Amino acid sequence: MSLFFRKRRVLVFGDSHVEALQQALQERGATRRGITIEAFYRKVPAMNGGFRGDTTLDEFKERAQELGPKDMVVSMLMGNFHHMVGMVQHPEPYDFLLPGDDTSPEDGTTLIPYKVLEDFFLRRLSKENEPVRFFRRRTDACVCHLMAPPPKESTKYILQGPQVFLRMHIKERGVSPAPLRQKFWRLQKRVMEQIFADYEVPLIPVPKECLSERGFLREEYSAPDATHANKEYGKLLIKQIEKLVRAQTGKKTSKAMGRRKKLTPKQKGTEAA
Amino acid sequence: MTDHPYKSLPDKAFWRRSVAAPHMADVDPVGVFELQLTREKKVATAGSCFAQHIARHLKSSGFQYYVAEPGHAIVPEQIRTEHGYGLFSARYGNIYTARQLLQLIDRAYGRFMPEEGAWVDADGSVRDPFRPTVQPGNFISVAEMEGDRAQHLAAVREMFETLDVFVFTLGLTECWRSRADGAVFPLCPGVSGGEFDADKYEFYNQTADDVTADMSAFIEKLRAVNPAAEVVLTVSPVPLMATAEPGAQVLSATTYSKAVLRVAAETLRQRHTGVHYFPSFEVITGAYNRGQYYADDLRNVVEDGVEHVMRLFLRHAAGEDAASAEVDAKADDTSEDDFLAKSAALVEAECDEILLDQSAES
Repeated sequence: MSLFFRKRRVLVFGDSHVEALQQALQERGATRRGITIEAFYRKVPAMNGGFRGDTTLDEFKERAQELGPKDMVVSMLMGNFHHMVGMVQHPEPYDFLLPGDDTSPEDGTTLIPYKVLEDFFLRRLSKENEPVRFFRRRTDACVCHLMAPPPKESTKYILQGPQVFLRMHIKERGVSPAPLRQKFWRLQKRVMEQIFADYEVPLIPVPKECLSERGFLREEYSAPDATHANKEYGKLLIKQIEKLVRAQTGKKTSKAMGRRKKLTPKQKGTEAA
Repeated sequence: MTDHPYKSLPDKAFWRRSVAAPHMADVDPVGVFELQLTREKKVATAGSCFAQHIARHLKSSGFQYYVAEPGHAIVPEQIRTEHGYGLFSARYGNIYTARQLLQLIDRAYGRFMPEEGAWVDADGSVRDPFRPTVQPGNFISVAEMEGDRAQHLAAVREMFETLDVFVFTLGLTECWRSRADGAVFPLCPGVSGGEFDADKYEFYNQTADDVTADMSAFIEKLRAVNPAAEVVLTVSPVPLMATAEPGAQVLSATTYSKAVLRVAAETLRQRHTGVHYFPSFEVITGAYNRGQYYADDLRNVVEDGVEHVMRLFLRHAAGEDAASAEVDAKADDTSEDDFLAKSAALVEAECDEILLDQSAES
């Protein structure tokens, strides 16, 4: 096949949120209008002693290194960290303020200074997103990161899920107030912006269509569980990715779309090390 | 040969026998120290940098180092520590002077409300003038700083009302204060936040009478909310970083400052029941160690020196060696880590569960 007609490949790598995309791709098919999108779920040990996910980081790295300059790597890693910290109601209620917000902390809560939480998220998310730095440095493709979907507003919806977790911790403690959960998601977004600005990787915001008036995940895009989006949301992501790929056509600057800079021989030596 | 009072004195009263001759690690400058410390007693700390060492060793030795403001448990302990929680019993940062301590208890109970407003840095971040370096990266707004200060002062009240022993390390006599209302700052405005203005701020170097009066007033106010509270005073062996005393040389200024604090500590011990002096200053600065307890900068105290101090402190206060008192002081943090671990497991379990659902459908 001539190079000019080569399909453009998009490889997506992420944690559990990638499943919404996988479901949508399964229904639609991977390739359309010359763009092939493949989504991989990072394979990690699961709580039952087995594994969840389908592709290890090393396996994905190998695939990503095959990509060319017109291709794209999309990261969806660690999207649920804000839920891990903020989903469950803590026995000592707390609140925090975000820069620029005029709100006051909830009465009767312990105020946690923003910089304390920012530091917590920054350290953890920097570590967890190290693979994105690798993709940025070691592939010829453009690299970007998709922000995870926002939390769901309804506590009832969160608790209606039929799964194991209802028997666990959350049932004993309850769900944190929705405004607090949303603040954690916004905190994660702010921190991811810092991390990816350092990597020179664009952070792509969630599709506007998925947001309710108050900035939560609309129910029609929600999976029947506490934290994830559904196949319809996955379809929004496909559109978003296709738009990104098309937008990258003709772009010459490496920074604009997270493409690596050409390395000097000396830098290559360092990278290899 | 006639009898005389020195003949019946113990070895510790003689320089050669208790300072010059013993092995360095065996020198024990403790005179009268009547504190009886048990593991049940809640020990709170405050003061200059050296008090942090005392706090750390108490904690690692299994004594009840009392932290009234530990920070919220949702944040891992390491990050809380790096943000000033647990370094002292509340997040007040360094309290260098007796006046600062007196004003702290007055601010905590609403008896003193300084006029000084928030310090806003060039980047828009906000500092509390009375603990300007306590929050790395500063506060994001005046509202956040004031909210944090309110809960800090609530923790200070709780600490004063419920502690059993209050260990305070007297650090400095030199300070900067507001001309408006006498509020003293831990750091000169303009050094770490704030803006120096000679019309607003003035230098003030406390005398022995000042320190004694301030500490006496503090002890009275502490006893008003906690009659059984015992107080242990120490003098920081860390020299001044710089002096603002007109014409002074920093070594001489340090000597003056430490002499004032030492005199005040002894005076307070003699005047008040339940007030003790522990000679950590003498352990570190004594000529017997030939300067070996100072780091190369001749200011910071090396770990051997801190260990010497704490070994003596625990021996005299609790009748045991620090080494034999080592326990797992991390037990208290288990529940905190457990909450986060369970919350993370919940979300991960949900991720696993989706797979189970898919398996069922396929």
